[in-house]
Amino acid sequence: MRGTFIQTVSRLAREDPKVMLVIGDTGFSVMEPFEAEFGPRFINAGIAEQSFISFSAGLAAMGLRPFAYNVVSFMTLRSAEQILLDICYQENPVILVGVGGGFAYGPAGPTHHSLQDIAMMRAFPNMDVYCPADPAEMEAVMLTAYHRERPAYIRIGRSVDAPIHARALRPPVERAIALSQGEDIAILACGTILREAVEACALLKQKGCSVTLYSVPCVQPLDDETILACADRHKAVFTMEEHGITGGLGSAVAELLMEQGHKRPVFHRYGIPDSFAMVTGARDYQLRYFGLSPEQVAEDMWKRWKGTV
Amino acid sequence: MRITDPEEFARAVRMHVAGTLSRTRDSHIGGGYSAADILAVLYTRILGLTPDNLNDPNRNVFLLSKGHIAATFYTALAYAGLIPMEDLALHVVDGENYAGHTRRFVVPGVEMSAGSLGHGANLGTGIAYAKKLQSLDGRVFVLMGDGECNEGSVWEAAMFASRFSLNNLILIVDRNRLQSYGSDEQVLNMGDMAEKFRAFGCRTVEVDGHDYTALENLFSQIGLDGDSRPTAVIAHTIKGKGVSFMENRLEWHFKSPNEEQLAQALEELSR
Repeated sequence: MRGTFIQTVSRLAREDPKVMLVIGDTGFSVMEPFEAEFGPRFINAGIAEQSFISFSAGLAAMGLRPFAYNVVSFMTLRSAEQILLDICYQENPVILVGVGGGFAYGPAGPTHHSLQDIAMMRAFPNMDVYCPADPAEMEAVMLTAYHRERPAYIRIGRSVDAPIHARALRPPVERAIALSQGEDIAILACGTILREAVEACALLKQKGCSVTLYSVPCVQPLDDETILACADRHKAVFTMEEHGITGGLGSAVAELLMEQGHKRPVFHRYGIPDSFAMVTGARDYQLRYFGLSPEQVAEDMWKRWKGTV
Repeated sequence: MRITDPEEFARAVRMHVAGTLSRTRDSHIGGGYSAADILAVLYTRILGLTPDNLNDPNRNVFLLSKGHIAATFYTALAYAGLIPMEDLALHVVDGENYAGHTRRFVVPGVEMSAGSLGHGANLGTGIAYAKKLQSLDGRVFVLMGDGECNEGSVWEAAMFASRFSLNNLILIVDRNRLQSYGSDEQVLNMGDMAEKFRAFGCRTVEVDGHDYTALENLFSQIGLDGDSRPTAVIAHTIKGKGVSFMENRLEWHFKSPNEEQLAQALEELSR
């Protein structure tokens, strides 16, 4: 999705002279064309996340439209206070773009994993939170965030993420996007794990289960209406995210269903439990380790739906 | 009630703040008094802010980064004619907008929400860069505490401002040498702060933070003479300046004057 990011921000920058790109010394071999085309509208703020965030907030305070691009784990944790106070509290509409969501940098180890960022950003007032799953969603959420002119956090995976949607999506992307409509199980997935959700959905269908699958690219604000309808129409509702189960999409859905749901469906959050990665491993290995491969998820969902767990 | 003479301005601010804080007991009076003369010179001689130009992109921007001296800052805004005098009675009143730390948007002339230290210099880099990029006039003044410079983010800002030649950014350090739990020397001992900022690529100037003429001469020229470097002004000040029993006393970071102390403070300040 990095390619989609740079193409989209470049397009916006051509249309709007206020669009800026700020990086935190990351994006080698990706950002150079933007720098060449837009000169001083590109800034490398260095390995200094606090400065990177507050500088971007200062640009926005003067009416500029910065996209601030950095590695998720460093950007959201090291400078959490700058995000809360200088972007959210002061209503400076910086669009944060975090690369390396979940286990995208799997083998690099837990310093580079991001399993708390959605929870944190979702808890910050004034912040919209987007987790695009593929290039089409990425382009659409970037345009959505740009037009909303609010603080936003966009969490992406890595350089190459295979397309899931067959064609471009029309912004704004505020509602969940249906990929499959069924009657038994509803799966709500956000971000890069949508790929595994699509495969799990296919496996469940092979078993004879009728499955609804939604991509939820906008986690905050949440598409309450679609989620409540899912709960009303299905025996089981499951969430999937490449994130800790505390505070992410699963928590958001659970909160909604407990407070406003008419029915109490069978419910389970698929994500990473309260744990760091226990061993070294690439993304697919880590997902398997935590029971999040398509086969494991489909099997577990099947059992929960049957009531045999 | 706009005052245009810096000395009169500072005197009025200090006297009003003593009254406010003896009533609200929100304190931070010592750090307010150390900065009062700097605020006085900026608001009477340098910034040129009026209710009509607060949204002008070409305005001078003042960021109070040491947001805990909000009571002093609100009072300066009132004597600068930017907020109504009667609003000063609303300091830390429930349901109003005058909190113990400044908040943007709700009080005219407050350009940043402050309270956590080490944010103003960094926001200032963004504002200063945006001004340069868009060829806008006006400089960006940031007032920080010397204790605040314990924060690493301040030095990130200094590095950044130097690298990007933000000569329209003026970082003012209120060098009163007293923090919250001890003196600067006792806490982290910042040492020669001018040397530190110089090492980070800033032009540095040391000045008596209570000398109106020196401050005015400095602020009226700095950043406008073609030097490409950002400026760090080390303003040597006295915490609690103007009231004998507060000067250089750590406890007046926290204490608020009782009735007797208020009377004595007002008597000394009116001399």
